[in-house]
Amino acid sequence: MESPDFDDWVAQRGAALLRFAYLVTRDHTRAEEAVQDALIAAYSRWSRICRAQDPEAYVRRCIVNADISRWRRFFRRETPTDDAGTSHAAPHRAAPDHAVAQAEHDAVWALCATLPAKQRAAVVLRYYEDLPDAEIAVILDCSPATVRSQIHRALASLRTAIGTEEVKR
Amino acid sequence: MDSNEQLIADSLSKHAADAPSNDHLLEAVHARLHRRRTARALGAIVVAAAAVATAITASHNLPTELHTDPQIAQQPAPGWRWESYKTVQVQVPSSWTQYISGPAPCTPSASASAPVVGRFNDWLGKYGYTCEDAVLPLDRRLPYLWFNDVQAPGIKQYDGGWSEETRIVGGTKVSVLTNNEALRRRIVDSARPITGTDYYGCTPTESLASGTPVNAEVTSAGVCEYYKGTLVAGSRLSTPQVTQLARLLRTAPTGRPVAPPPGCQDTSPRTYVVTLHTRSASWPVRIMYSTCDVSYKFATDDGKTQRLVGYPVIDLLRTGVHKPNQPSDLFDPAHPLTPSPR
Repeated sequence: MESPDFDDWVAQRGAALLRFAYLVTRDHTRAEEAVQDALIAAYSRWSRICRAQDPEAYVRRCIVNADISRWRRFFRRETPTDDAGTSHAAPHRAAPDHAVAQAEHDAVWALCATLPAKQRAAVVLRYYEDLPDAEIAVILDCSPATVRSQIHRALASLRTAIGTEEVKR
Repeated sequence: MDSNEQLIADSLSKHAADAPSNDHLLEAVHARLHRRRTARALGAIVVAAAAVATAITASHNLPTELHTDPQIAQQPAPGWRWESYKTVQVQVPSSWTQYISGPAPCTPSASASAPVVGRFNDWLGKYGYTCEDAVLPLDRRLPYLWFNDVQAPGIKQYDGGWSEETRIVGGTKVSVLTNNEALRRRIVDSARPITGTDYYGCTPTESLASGTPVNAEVTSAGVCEYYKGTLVAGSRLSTPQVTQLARLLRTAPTGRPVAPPPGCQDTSPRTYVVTLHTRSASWPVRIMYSTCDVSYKFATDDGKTQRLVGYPVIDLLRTGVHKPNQPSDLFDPAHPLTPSPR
């Protein structure tokens, strides 16, 4: 199969890659850098990558690995600040108005920051990209069983933090 | 998918909308590839002559690859501008030009009828001031965006068709009061946590700013104001001010701070991190400002060299968002200026 043109592919998929990178890194600058780094790495071996697999899986894997490597380098996990902690409280569900829904989204967003990078990536790929276990496994370079385990742990952590009943998939 | 999973999916979808734009992604990638090829070619030539020189060249070129322009992804809508405070930035109409420090709603508008952008600055006696009103009387009421006020999150309906919405974004409260629900919602919905830098290039907490002075023509300058290391406001200087500021900073003499007058206590010292941009380089300058220091202010340009700058520099910086109205009568809790609670 003929490789897609690199520029055309980036023009078509760039926005989606940046959204994915932003949800994983949670930072504009790091998201841009991660996507650019991944694309630069892919550029020199574009034909080979396209022959072997879906280039998107390769680029997404680079983005996730960049985020994981970053945390390994600094030996720390992202933790919310004291100020942000005000939004970590269990969201109030009684009044489903505009502001409450917003508060819920912000609280979940803040809680996602406490997840390890790979778990967060798995959550993004499942709940934002809506990918099946097998495709997530290819991107995260692990088995589908590991993907299920990662998501289960992530949901358990979020469930504990939110303080709701058991989360089942 | 259960309710928690749905909540996660919804939250991710909402925040994905904040992702950087891809408008310049391809250009940025090709620019970096070009620089990388150039650096490698140059490196190969230099290796042949001197291995040491190659290392210097690489270390000089590679860091610039990571520079991204925060403006590209965050342009405000036409007729709107960004306002930043602590960890959040919000868009407001450009006509909202009245800046006030203090608590809403008990800080009355100072003069004109322009809508207000208020900041509950921590140095205004936050815990010594009592104000129990929910909203000012209708005839004194103005639309506002208020940062970090005491209001609880949620939507409150007032008389005359006015409503106020308070949201916590990035850990900072954002309150918007208007008599136009669509406008209120648009402003609140524009609120974004500052995850890296804001539109003006400001970080939520003061970061080390130092750099070598640049001699080329300065094309723009971002101003980040900090109080005790926390972002108070960001702005961008207009062209004439930029040129004047660059000239004043370049010609500022080196020197040391003078001792403050005996007994002078400045409760609100400010730091301005000003970044002057040329077409190819940036020059960050850190300027300390204190009312106790009546003669000179101090700027450092390389982290070590201190320069003395005068009021012409401070006056250029302390305008608009950096010079809010601070009504002094707010400080008397026993005799509040505002009407009784309703």
